[in-house]
Amino acid sequence: MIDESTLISNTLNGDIQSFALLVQAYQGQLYNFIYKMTKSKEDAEDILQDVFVKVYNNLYKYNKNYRFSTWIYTITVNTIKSTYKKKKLRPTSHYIDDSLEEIPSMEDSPELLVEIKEHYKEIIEAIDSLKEKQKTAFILRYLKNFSYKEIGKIMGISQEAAKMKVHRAKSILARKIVNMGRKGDI
Amino acid sequence: MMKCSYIDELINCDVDSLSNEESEKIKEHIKTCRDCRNFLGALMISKNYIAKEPKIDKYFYTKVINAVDSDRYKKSKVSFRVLGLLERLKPALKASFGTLAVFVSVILLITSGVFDNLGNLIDKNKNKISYSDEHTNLTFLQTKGQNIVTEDGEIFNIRGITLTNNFWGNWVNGESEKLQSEGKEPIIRPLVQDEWVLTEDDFERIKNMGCNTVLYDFNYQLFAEDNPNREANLERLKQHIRRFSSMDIYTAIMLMAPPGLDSANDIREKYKHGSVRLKSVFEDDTYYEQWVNMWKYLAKELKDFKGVAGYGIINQPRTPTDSEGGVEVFRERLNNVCKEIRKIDKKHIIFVPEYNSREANPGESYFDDETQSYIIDNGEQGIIWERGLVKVDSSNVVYLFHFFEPYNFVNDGIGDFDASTLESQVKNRYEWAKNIGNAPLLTEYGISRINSVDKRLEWLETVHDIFNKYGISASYFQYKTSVGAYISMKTGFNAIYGEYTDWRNEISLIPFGFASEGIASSAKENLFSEAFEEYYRKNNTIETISILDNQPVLESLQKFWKQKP
Repeated sequence: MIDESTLISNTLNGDIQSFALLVQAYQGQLYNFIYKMTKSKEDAEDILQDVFVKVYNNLYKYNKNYRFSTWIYTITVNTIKSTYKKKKLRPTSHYIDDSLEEIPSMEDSPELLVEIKEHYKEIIEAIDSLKEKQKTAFILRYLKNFSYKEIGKIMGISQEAAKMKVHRAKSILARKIVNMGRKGDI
Repeated sequence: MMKCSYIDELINCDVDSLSNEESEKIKEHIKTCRDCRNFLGALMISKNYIAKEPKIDKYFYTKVINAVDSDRYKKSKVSFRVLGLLERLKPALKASFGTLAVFVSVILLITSGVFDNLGNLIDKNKNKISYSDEHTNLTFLQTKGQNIVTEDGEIFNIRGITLTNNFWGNWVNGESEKLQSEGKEPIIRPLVQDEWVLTEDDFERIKNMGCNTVLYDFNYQLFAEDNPNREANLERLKQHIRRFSSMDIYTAIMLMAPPGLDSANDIREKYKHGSVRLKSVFEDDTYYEQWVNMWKYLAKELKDFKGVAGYGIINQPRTPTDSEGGVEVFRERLNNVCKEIRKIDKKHIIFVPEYNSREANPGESYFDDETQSYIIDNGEQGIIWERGLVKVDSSNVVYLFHFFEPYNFVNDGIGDFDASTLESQVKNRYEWAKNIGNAPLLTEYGISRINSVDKRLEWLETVHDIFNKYGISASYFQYKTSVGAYISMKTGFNAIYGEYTDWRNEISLIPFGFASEGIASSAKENLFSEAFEEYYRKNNTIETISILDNQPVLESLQKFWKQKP
């Protein structure tokens, strides 16, 4: 496997195959991120393509002193944002059902999950109902284990602000879970 | 009911990076605490959900490869390296010397001959590397002989449509009555552009129309120094320019209402004695300074925009009487505005209009609108409707004239037109522009709905042929305007689209119809009742925008826009 920095410098030397390999390396995780943010498979593909075109056209601006993944996620977050601005994204109506089919097996999870596991749908809804920035920070945190510093850089906010956004998201999630318990749902 | 206080600790900590000791403590706690147990469970479910990647077509990357220019980095490796370096230096350079420093560095590199191909490269990539944040294939326009050309030297005739953007403003309850009672213009120029003038739908519509330029009208007050919304207005203007340039449509920035006398308040002012009439920028020094300062501000802010076709410095100006300086002060002030813009912005075209009228000198005869007869001026500064182009000294100037000829036919449907007369009017201007040392011309033209569709088409085809013959840039006036019970649907209505902006005030939904007798009778008088039934009413709902009967007119424009120079 050729490393990322070689692929980047090869691309900048005119080798388009290297760029194809870079796309392949990132397409799955970025698609996942965009899909989780937009809830629409069609929009996610369109945005993803836009992201890679921007990455390619601006690759000469990429500064090797920073992680490439931080840079590419910055472009992705901005592209999602500008697409939101331009038009209303179309959520796929099957979204929730799709997710339900895809409930992770959680073989490695302890018995404590038994109670909450039934409430998968509500938990996903709770994540989706977060404010856009909280959701972005929360997803970035658990998607790639980005540090708060990196999340801040991706979102164009300070490290502290990034930490606060994740904290808020977790608090909201906790409150909803506790309330579910109070209502006797769990 | 209180939640477990331990849950806050769980929110704060990172469950994945706990020490053994902490981990044991949590395990112990959740054995007995359902809230914390459920929260940790939910967090784990969230993480699993987030990590799970949906399937994507594994050949997706081929779409990307097809969408990019695979030769981009083959062209010039060294140069991209230099640009990359400059890109990284930009924040530092910006902080210390501003963007100028980046330009200086580039120029130094070019002139020192270190990278011979850098100049070429910047040229090649000028569309992609932009200091105005535009994503566009457009290049700066300039004049060459009697043509407007792109940077590649290709002839570019403006084939545009005018967006008037409701620059004249609105009736403002409370203030307008007061102004009217004082004999002043009651319609108040906007301090912020109305939302309806350029919506998302408008961008889509204009994109599909096929014009290559929009003439973007505005009023001075939007960018007046004392307008607290000035920065926001500028940002909005920039966004509009970027939006159009991303569709490869140029935006010509046209000042329609300068400070003081403008073509809209003149409807009232022209009847007044010269001594009490609102002064123009050519007569009043304060207005003149405000006018110059506004252009300096805009030129500084817009100088890097490739999508800007140029600056229309003023609309339908009037030269003052000889005792106030006459045509000479007119020329001098136009020259000064051009000079001030040029000090800041070397690239953009400046559109300089012909004067469309002048103030009479004592003893001259003029046509008096009120008495509908010719009278001799006795110091009241009557209006003589005479036109004339005046040469300015700046480079990159395009001269602008309005073409609504013959006036009575085009505006009021009286009489007919004669193709050879129309041609000679255009030819005279063409010859003038040739004789002053070759300058291009831009015209703004249109015909009102008082004429039948067939007649409108006939006139349009005639003038389009003439514009083509003399290679004249042209913009149709106008894209859309507001319709309603108080606006005549026939005269003075040249817009392709009519938007019923005021329906909330004029229409009652139950029972469906005009909200009052007064509105209904105005609507009838202005022929809006029938237009409403035909174009806006859809059963008991309202379609707010309509092309009216203008589809063939639009098609005629589109045919003209497609013809190559």
